Amino acid sequence: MKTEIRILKRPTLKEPRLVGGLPGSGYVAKLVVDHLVKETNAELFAEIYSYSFPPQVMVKEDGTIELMKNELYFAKNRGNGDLIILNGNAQAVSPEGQYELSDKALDFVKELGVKTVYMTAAYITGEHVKKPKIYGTATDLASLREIEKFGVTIMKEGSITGSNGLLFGLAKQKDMTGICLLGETSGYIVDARAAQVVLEVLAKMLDFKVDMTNLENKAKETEKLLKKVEEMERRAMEQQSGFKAPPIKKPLEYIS
Amino acid sequence: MESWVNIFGDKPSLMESKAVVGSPGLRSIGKLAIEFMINQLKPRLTGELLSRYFPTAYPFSASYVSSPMYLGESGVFVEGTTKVPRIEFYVEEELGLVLVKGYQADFNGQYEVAREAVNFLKELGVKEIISLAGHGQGGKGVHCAATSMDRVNALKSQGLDTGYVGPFLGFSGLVIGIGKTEGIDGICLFGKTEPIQEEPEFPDLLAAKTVLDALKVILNLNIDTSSLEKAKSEDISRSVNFGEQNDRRTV
Repeated sequence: MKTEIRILKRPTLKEPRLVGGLPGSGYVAKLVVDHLVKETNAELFAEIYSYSFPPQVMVKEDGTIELMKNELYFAKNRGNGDLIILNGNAQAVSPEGQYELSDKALDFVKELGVKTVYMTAAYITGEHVKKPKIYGTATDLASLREIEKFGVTIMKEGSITGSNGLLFGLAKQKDMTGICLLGETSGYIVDARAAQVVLEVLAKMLDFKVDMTNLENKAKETEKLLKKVEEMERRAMEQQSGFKAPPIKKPLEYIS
Repeated sequence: MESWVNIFGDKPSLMESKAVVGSPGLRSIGKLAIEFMINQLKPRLTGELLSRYFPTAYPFSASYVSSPMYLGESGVFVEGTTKVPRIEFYVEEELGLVLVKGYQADFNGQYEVAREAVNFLKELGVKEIISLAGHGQGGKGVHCAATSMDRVNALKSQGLDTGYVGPFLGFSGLVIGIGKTEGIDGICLFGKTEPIQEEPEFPDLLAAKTVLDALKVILNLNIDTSSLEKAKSEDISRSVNFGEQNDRRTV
């Protein structure tokens, strides 16, 4: 088992909070942090490599190749302090690897002054919804009461699997507070609408503004995709049952 | 350390050398290509990498698809005498080439093995790694990729196209990725091929030839690949170089 943090720069940060999200169901968490990194012009300062990542490299659209990795960025003066953002193109695959990576990453950000860890994730319902709800949980009761004030539905039971769960769950072991915000999603599609809902609440909690235009555009694409999926499901149902369901109402797009 | 390199004879002194890597993989394109080069260039076997993570059999999936759930079965190969699985490093000093015949470790060993291989290539003075492989999106020809935009553009100016987007699994990909973190340039040449679900590593000789023809241009290499056109995949799959994972397995 081997996890290595390569430090590219050691920033001095004021009241930093960690916000993280790694690829998982619906890409909800990944979309949140991708957007946050871009819109805050966050600067890359450390890379995390692990022997527990999928044993592969990624070929990107421009033809360049990169190893699987997690990345830490910082953005100064966002709300009540600075932000550290944890992003990545993969999660560790094995449970041992996920624990090792979470442990090292949390020790590292604690050294930089982080007291609260905000992770993002997907809340999978198996059903498509137009207005996703936002669920949340935390490592202590006071934080639960706090996030409830932002319209977050508190998770009563269940589990948050993988690194997006461990990274805030283990924060408590290191005397930090851990909070997780989960966007409701079917789990079947890349869900930018769920990501948008999560980021809106997160920005309110941390008291900073973030331009949502790009994520909103992606969310509209999600909705178009959803309509197609619904139409395909409707047709499949027709074929199976022989019953002809009424067509989904299409908005009036033009008048002739 | 669970993986280590044994060096045979004197360590060659190479300057600015390049390594070419091919491993068991999709339609055996990389493996076929590197074995063909070794047969043609008759380089000297300079080192071997052994690892406790090398299975001799991959009962649940193709060799290049590693999972923590399925770690394969260890053992030895019997070919007249017995041998353990290994990665082989050949050196052609005149051309400044290191030829690496790769092998797929299990999930727990893939990164460690690739790291050890990169360390050894660095010791040999390798400045660029070229991995030969295949991608299963069909069609004919070659797609390229590289560790920097400069290298991508250089490949394009030599008539190659990018176009494959996605993961590159296993040893040949990891040496490129780990090499990049060590400041070694990397190039991938993917022969386009049709995947065969029942036998993912069934050899595609023509795709291997296409990859080698692209490599010849990049390295300005004079080798005749026409024999790959005449050979039959069925015969190759039964030869000593193939079927190590499944065909001749005895327990």
